[in-house]
Amino acid sequence: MTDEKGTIICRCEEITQEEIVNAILEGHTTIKSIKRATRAGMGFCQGRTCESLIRDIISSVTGTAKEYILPDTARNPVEPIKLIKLAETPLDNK
Amino acid sequence: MNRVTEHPILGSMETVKQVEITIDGKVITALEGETIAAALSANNIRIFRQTTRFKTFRKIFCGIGQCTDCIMIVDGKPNVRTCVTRVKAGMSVRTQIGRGEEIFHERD
Amino acid sequence: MKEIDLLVIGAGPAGLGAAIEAGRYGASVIIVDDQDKPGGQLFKQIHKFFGSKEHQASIRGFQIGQELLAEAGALGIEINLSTKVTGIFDDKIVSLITDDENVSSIKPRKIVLATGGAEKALTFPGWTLPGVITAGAAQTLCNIERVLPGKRIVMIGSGNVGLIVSYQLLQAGAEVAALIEAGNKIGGYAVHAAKIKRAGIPIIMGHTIISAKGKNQVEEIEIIALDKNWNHIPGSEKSFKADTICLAVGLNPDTRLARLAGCRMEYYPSLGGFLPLHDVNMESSINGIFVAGDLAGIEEANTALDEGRLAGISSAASLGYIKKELFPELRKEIWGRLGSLRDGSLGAKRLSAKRELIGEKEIHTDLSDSNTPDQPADYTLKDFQESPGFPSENRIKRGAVACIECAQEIPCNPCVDSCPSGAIIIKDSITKLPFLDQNRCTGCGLCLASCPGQAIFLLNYHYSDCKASVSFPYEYLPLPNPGETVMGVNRDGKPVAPVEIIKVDNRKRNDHTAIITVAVDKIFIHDIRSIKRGVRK
Repeated sequence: MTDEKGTIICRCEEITQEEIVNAILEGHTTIKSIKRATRAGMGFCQGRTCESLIRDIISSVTGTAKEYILPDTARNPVEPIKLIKLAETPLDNK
Repeated sequence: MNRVTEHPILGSMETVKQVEITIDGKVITALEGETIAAALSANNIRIFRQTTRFKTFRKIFCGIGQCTDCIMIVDGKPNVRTCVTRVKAGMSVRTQIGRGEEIFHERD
Repeated sequence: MKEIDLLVIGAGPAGLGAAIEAGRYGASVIIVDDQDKPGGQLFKQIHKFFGSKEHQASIRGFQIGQELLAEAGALGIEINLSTKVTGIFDDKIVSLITDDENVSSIKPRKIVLATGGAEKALTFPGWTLPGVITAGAAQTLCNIERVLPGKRIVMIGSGNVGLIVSYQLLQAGAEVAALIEAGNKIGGYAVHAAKIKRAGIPIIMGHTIISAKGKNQVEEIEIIALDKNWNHIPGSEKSFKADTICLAVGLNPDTRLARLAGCRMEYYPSLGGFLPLHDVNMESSINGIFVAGDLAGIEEANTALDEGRLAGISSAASLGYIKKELFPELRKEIWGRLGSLRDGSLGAKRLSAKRELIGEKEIHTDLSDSNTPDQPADYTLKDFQESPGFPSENRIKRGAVACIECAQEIPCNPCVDSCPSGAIIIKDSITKLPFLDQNRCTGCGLCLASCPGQAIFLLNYHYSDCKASVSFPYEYLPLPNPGETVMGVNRDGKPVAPVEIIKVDNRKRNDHTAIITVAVDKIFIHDIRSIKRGVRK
């Protein structure tokens, strides 16, 4: 993989530039939608490295200003934890 | 060995206890309290894992526990971030293949 | 569920600053941090910081970290390490997991988010190869873990991070093959660039990396020249051998928790991208959630510390721990300090972005909008000679005198305090260039080690009948020995002529900045500024 198309954008899920560009051309023009379409940003690090790279690509393919390419929605839990731990978390307001 | 034993600002390295850990079964020397990634780097080990999809090799990238590129199998547990996990005497570290189901045997 | 006045998320400079200030006024404070050691990235910073005495200038970053931890400890502030925040829910209930094992939750009355930033990446074919690392990773390895990340390193990016980490790699004993900058100007401080140039490291401007090659790890890097419109110039490719490529291409604010908490976000490219909006008290759009440090805009550690202090004071005030009359004064003082750090041409963009973000009128600074003169691509002897810190030829011929090669406005003034004769003057704002009162300067040389930029030299034209002496700061190993003859180098690290080492002054007050004096032919008094670095054992 020495060509740019094959360059990895999402290191965790190994999603290439070409796959992201194709997803954009298919109409996925938000970070959230590209994540669903390609899995980019869905890996262990949760898009911490690739989110801004994907924003750059969306902007250069669609011409959209970067300020309109919003970050993905953050959800609880923001850190990868075991589901059992999530279930154990005491959240009642006592 | 590429440890910075002398440093113009930080001075001589403190003497710390040496511990032995294994990397894919091979014994290497590490310093108590250092991260696994540092111990492997000090021993010139540059391959930490092989990826699932394109089967390429990875090593430490961000160094502060954010990117998860340095994950390895530590004491049987896969996906351990070696840049923020400290060595313990007798620790078994294995190169992680994909998501960690297979065992990597070869070590150059 | 545990209740507390203030939960600070992040134990870096911003978080520690917030906790210390809120704790000082009596608030009960807990800090949580996902790492197993506090300090954020401060302990990797082994260089002397810029700023003024109030910003702890001329003190090395890790020493500031130690002081902050001592201060937090004295106030009895609890720091929970290896603790990740997994969620922020309504009513500010925060869920935590410690050691990836023990879950808990806490209900603070106020929250300070000080989650810092994450390094940006640059993609090119081969960037996932082992050996491509962030500059921050390189810094962690060589300064904290004391392991060299590689033997022959190429740095990408000439911002302060790229310049500082290149310098620190050299200090640790690695070889830095080159520093690559896509633009036509150095991104960071000229004095940081000058240090690595004196060390003979080429800074290749107007180039970008196009690939990293190697079988299972980096063996070679290929770069290409860029035209004015950032397009590759075909045929200009160059390759060289390297085993490590460090990326220093900026940071993104780590906004996950801010977004989770529902803070309103906006895009400010000069501050690193999307970040939570905040007001003059550092309070986000969510009542009771404050933000500070790199999360609220990527800047320097000393700015983060002061923003954190402000967030701490504001949260303590909103809890009633600070008298209503006192609070505006405290706030104004901090905004004054922040203002001076953002003054000058390099801070102008950040200052105007912060003003826009907060609402211009509310920023308490007396600073006028600075005119931003165009920075030259490179500072030459002529630029220095025209700057107010450079002694006249007449003065040089009269005897030992300081020679300040500081021609770029950066927020820094420790040289002023270091001078026992009051010969160095910085007027109006700490960003202004130092003025040397030539008649007052006695040539004592105390200013040399105080300058965080290592930009002051001592020239003595009359060292002997045929030799002049030049003194300069030096922070590499091995230190040369008096009597030795070594190669004297110029501002670009190029050999000029052999020189004799006269003196190596590494006294304690210099804090590991050795001052080396060499005897040079009088004609080279304006050329020789360092020596060729020795080979480490």
